[in-house]
Amino acid sequence: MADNLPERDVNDEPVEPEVPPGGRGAEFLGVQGQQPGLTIDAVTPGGEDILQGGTEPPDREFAVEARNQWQLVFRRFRQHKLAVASLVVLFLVILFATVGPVVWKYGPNDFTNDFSVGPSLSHPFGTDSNGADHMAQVMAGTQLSLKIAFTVAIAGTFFGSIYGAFSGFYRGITDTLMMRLVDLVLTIPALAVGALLGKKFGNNWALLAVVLAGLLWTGSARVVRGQVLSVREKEYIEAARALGATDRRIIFRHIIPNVAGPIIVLFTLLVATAVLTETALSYLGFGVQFPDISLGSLVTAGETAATGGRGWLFYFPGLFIILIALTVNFIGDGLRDALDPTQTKARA
Amino acid sequence: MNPDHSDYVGATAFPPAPGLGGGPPAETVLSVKDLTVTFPSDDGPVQAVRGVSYDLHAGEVLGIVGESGSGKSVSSMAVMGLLPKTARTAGSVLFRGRELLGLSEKEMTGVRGRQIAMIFQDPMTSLNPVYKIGWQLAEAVLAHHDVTKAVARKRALELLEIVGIPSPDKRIDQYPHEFSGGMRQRVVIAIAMANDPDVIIADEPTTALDVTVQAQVLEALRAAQQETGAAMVLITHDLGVVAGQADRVLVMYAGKPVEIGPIDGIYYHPRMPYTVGLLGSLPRLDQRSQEKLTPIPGTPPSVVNLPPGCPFAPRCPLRTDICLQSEPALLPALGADHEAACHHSDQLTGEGAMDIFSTDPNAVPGERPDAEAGPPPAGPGTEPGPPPAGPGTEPGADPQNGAAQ
Amino acid sequence: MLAFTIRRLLVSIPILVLSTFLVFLLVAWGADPLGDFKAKNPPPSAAEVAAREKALGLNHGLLVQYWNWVKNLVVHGSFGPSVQGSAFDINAELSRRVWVTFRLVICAIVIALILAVIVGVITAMKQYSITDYVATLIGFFFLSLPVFWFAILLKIWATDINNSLGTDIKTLGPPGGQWGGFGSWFGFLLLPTITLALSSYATWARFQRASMLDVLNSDYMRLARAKGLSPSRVMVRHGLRTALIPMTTQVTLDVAAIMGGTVITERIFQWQGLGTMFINAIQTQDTNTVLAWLLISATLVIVFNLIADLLYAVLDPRIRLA
Repeated sequence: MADNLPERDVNDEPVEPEVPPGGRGAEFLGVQGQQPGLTIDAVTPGGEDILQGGTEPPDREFAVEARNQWQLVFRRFRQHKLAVASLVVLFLVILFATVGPVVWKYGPNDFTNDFSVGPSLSHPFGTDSNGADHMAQVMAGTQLSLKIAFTVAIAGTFFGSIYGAFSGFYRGITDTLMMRLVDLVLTIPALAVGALLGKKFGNNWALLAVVLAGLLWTGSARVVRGQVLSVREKEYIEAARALGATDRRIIFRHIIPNVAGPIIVLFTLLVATAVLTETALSYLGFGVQFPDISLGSLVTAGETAATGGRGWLFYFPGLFIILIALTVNFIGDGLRDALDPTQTKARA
Repeated sequence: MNPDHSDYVGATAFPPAPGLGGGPPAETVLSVKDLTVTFPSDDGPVQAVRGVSYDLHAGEVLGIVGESGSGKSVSSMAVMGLLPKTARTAGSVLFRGRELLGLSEKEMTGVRGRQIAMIFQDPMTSLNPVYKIGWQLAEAVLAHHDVTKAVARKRALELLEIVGIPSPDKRIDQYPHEFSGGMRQRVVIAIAMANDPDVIIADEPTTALDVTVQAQVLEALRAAQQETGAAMVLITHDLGVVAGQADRVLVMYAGKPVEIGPIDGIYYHPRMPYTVGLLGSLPRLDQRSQEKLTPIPGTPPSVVNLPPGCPFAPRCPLRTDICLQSEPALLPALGADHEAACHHSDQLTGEGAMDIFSTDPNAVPGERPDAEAGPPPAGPGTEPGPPPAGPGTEPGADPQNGAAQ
Repeated sequence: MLAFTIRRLLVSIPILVLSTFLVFLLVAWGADPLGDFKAKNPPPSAAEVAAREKALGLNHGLLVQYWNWVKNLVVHGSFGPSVQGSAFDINAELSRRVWVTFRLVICAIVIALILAVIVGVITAMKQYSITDYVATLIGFFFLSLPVFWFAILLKIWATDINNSLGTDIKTLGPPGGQWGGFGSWFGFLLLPTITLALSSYATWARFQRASMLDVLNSDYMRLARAKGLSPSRVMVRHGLRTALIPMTTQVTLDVAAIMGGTVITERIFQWQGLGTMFINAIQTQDTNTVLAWLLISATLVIVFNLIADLLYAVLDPRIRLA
């Protein structure tokens, strides 16, 4: 039996395991992944909506496709009840932090004669031992913590995505060197280096945000690199290359828009990470420094108060940290589901 | 389930089953009656299988043919009890008179592999990447036989040899990623025959393979069937594969059998326009005509909310009012063993696909035979096969990987 | 396998060297060891500052400083002098505290890992069940929890419970670096371990669930069932065994974060481990101690990386040949 079977089949090269280079997310591209990409300008319909600025309007036909794609995402997002509720809550928290201080009768440094009173109508979150209104303090702390978190997320995702996109696009030795650097950064605990540098830069919230972004960009870089590795094998990239598009054009006009989905998800998750890292540093005294107020530094102040029976000074700032991190995480989860229903992987 | 392994090892020398075609009617090993499978979906229940019935006799090969989404794979998974928990299955599946539907997972483990074995479509992903080939084979043996590991390994070696793996003593200690697709499928076939099952269900065993190795894998499949004497259900969308292997053919459309009969009857005297269409879309080597292949116009219907009437009616050139009103039952059409589900099967005597489909106003324009410009009709195969072309040629109207696979 | 191990070890060395250089640059940039000294009142004279700089070896260029630091470390195994005075011996202090921290880290990793695998597998098998939803919600909650705040909360609760029930849940670390007996270990370890394990557990459980789901939907699981294997064998030998592979990488990625977490945990529970030492060092701008801590932490991460790679090669035969 075995004799009359040709050997040919046996000598075939052992086939690689069926794991795409980017790992997951190839299906993520959904509709646009199947576009043959015959014209360079209109190849990436899914991305056009995000990178609207500066790009000429795509072909009419593709524009229709694009809107459908994002309408679909929106419809799927709405099905994630927790994510929608989280969006509302986060919006309220942002209102509380931005409009609140303008409307509320006390500022964080206004001292009243009510020393250490518990929550009441005139002081919903109570007051501290100096008579300062705690709700005003939490408003100010939430505002600064949010400001830092969003700055970190924007800067970190931006840098990490570009870094990862270049690394995955050029592959070879460039990729190896760039990813070794990422590995190197990953060997160092972000919290520890954040403490070291935060001690120096903490008095300027923007600098602190830049330092944190410098420590938290690696996640985006890794994921985007993986995405790019798989996207770059797609036919429409080949088509663009065949038409003589430059590397830069391919990266910015074709690859980045097509990995936009995971980048959006990474962004939301980084907001949560940034809030938790900043407040932790501020709690240790190496983050936001007096006279600025962060939710973390409020917890430091409330720590001793809580054991002395004035728990409100401890619970409220913590509650707001949880609110921000939890809603942002749920929104990120909803976005992930909406952008790719087939992807069940955990966060990167 | 036989603890006596001396008897067991000897079982590889099981006498080959007498081929069908002559002799007394063999015993029925598998009897499927009114099998229905429904999946819930956002758009309402999907009736993937809407009443499949067939009897499988000992030693015979039954080909189940149909397009993707016709329910041919789902019905077989239902027989094995391998459908996801969300699937609702009804009807009856009798294995040697024992009802399999409704058995617990634990009871089914005694049936699977031992009595009914299955071969899947994609050999690249069917084997566990982290275990050696020999281990996975021996595991199958040990699942049903109380033998030592050494005996199981010896049996694994034997099996590898039967399915045509060269130097099995070396290959047995390799991992799946060191095997090519065709070789992996042979291993899957070896696993299926490991316990001398009475029925082997092969679900598109060659679809995912390179055309050049399909013939070899079919050869291995045939060897496995002869070695074990098992009856086989061969599911495929490739009429060429069926022609070379099957004794009888069941044609499925939209979750239901539309024609069943002996192989010659189906190929030479089809009694259902869909079968005629499928055959017409096959290139043939035995007729050196200059005609183009005849495609079936249109696409299969969605199995969510099927309209009343014959599901093939929208694509059928013979449809009349009655076709849109009532769904035809499977009735004897050409002798008792050849049944077709068509209101007009009596009109189909001696008609070919060219005759009925080409007159259809829905036919794609420009499809009329054109002796000058048309490509030669012969398929790529070189072996002189039974009626249609050898393995590897696919009906033109068959998109791969339907939703119900 | 041995060749692979050696090759992998050799790759680790340049990473470690580069890591020390990066750490050195960061510390040189971020800390000023003479800040406190210069800020003294009355201000020290220029000569005093120069003498101090010389004593700490700061009077050279950055590269020379790095070279001296590495030389001192490799040749004498010493982390150098401390700005906290000659009475503060960094090496002795480190060796006194290192096991306090490592014990905590290892306990947290083991507990988080075991829980994560169990919960991840169960939720994957019961996808979309109530159990799944509840476990996922709890996971999200843990992921969003500020650990420092939760640790304080645990302390408050433990005190309340102790007061009302007369139990003895330890809210503060052991007085010295060492303590005896498993029983007393447990009391001390309980709260800090929960704190440290929490966020890693949440990430890992989610990851394990996804990994298990991938495997459950795979063709080879279907074939394993079709062979007639018992459900438990299908789940454990084919499902869990394969689904564990991606976890090794994930766990490694989080070791650095756990090490960073010890800084907070030790501070709140007042453990005399490396974390507290690190906080003190930043406060006093004791660069050599900060360097030592970062180096130990980087080494730990690299070692875990190495272990994960080897484990990966053992678990997944496709890697071994590569």
